[in-house]
Amino acid sequence: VRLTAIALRAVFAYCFLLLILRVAGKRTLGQATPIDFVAALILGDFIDDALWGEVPAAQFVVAAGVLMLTHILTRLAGALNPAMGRLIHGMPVEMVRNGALQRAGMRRERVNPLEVAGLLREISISDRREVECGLLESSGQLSVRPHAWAKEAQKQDLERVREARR
Amino acid sequence: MKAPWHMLLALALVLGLVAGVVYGLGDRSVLVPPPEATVENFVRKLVPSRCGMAMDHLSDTLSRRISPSELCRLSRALTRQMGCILDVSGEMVRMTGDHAQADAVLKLPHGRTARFRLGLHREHGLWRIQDLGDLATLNRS
Repeated sequence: VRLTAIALRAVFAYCFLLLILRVAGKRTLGQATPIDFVAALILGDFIDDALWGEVPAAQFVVAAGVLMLTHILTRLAGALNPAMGRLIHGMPVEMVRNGALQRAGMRRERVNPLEVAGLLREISISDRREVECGLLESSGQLSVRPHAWAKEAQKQDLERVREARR
Repeated sequence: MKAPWHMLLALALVLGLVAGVVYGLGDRSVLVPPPEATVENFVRKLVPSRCGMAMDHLSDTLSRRISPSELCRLSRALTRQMGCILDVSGEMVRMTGDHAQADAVLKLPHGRTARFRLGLHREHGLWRIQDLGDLATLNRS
C-alpha cells in the first residue's frame, strides 16, 4: 500500500508541476537569472515533503502555487518597469573591451582573469583580442560581440570572394 | 497579464481536485499524510520541545484537554527517560474507517529501540492524534 501511495503521489506531484510550469511560461524556470534559480531550488524542496507524504497535498499545492505566482508577478513587474527589471535581474557588466580586460567590472563581479578566459573558451574564443565587447550577463554567462575581422566566414563572404576573383 | 490569472485558476482547480479526492472519495493515505507519518512528525516535534508545532497534530478534543506547557512537560519526561534519541520513525498498526493506530519507534544508542502506540482520528480530512497512549503515562511517572 505504501509503495502504491508513493507512486500515486509522484504522479500527482509531476502533473501538478507540469501544469504550473506550463502556466508560468517558458522562461520561468530556465534558470536564466538568480531569481529563477532560487524559485527552482525552493520548488525542488517542496516536492520532497509531498512525495513522502509528510505534508498534505493541499499544503504542497498552495506553497508551490503561491511561490510560482509570486515569481510570475516579480517577472511581470520587471518586464513592465525597466527600473524594477534592473533591480530584479541586475545589469550586464563589461568584462572585456577591444581585447583588454576591464578590471573595474571584474572587481565588481569578483571575477579573475582565468575565469574570464574560461568563459570565453566556453563560447569557442581562445584569443581575447578577437573580442570587441564582452558582457557578463545576469545569467552568469558571457555574451560577446567579436571584431569584424574575427567573425566566422559566412556563405555570403564566399560569394563575395568568388565575385572578386571574376 | 494572463499568466497570474491562469495560475490562480490552475491552483483553484487542483485544490478542488484534492478536496474531491480527500472528502469525496475518502482518501486516507495518498493526498493526506498517512497515520504513521502523522505520528512520526508529531514525535519529531515533541522531542526537541517544539510544543506549539506539535500541538498542530492533536485532534480538537485532545488539544482542548492538553495545553502546550503540558506537552512540553511530556517532552521533557520523554527525553529524561529515553536519554539520547537518535532517530524517530512511524509504523502503521491498523486503520479502520476514521480511526487508526500507529507506533512511534524511537532509535536509541547501542541498538536499543522504544515503541509508543498512539491512537488517531480522521478530522477535517486529516489524521490527528486523539490518544497519546503510552506517551501520556510518561508524564505521570
